[in-house]
Amino acid sequence: MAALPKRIIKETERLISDPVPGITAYPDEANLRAFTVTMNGPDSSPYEKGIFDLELYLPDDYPMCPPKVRFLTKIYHPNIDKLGRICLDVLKDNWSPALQIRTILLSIQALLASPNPDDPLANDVADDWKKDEPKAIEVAKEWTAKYAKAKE
Amino acid sequence: MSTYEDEHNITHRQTTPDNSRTHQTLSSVINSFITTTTNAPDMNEIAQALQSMEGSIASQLVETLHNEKKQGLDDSYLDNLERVNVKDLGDDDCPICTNKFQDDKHPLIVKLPCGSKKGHIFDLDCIGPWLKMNSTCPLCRFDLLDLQKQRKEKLDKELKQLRDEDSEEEEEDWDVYG
Repeated sequence: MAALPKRIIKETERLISDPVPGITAYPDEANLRAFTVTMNGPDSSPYEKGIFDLELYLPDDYPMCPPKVRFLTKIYHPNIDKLGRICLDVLKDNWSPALQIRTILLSIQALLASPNPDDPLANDVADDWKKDEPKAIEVAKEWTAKYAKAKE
Repeated sequence: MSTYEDEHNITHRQTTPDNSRTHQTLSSVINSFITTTTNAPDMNEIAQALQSMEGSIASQLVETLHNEKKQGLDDSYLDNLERVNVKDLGDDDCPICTNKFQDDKHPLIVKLPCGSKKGHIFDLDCIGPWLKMNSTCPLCRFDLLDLQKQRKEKLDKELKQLRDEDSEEEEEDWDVYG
């Protein structure tokens, strides 16, 4: 494997020494481009008190192309599909090399706080969300309690 | 020299092109991809061929092909970017590699014409690969290609105006001497 770019090393060090509140990200020992991430559900959102696992991978072209991020924990959200894929502009067309792992993770946390059913990835969830928001929020809370539990 | 068919004891099957198709098949487009290396493949042709396929995957592919029109800037644009002397910079770091400009022994620093007050400044080595694929400033998403187009249009307009004035003057001159 090619040497790890200095930027990735610096980002990794800062993620560990000065972590984003409510988010942890550690590189895998076997592959320093692959990160195991946990994210606390934002307060006063349906995901409150949930702890979500994500995986993050830095492609070879990083930072010229965005990191690949996916939820591993099941989550009921209009912009996150069954496979945990996330519909977020900065992870696709609006990526910029001035963004970093920490800013991307913050954007994902913000997406949990403000779901956007008008730009859906999980169409059935988005439909539910638009038809009956209070009920959708209830389901999201149920899923959070059921799946996003802290590990022993 | 014996052919592949001789060696494998099979009869050569001539592949005749299927003339009954009215549209290009995906395979023919892909073939042209492989055989014509000098011509860049026409994205619209591929999109058309894909459109003839059925199913949502094809339509998704068509969509991505159409969206894939992201354009970058060429080498001459990069060469002509405003250079910045490291002595004029404080303790800033390059937003892409996150290294301090001052730490670089032989820094080559450029400023993008995106109109920000202080200027969005990068190592040329860092911004180069980005601008070859994209035309936006990484810090403010300002589209540099738009600016270039506007400037070119303005210049063309001014040139045309000048030319028109010139020809008018010439006509007047003829009046005087004619």
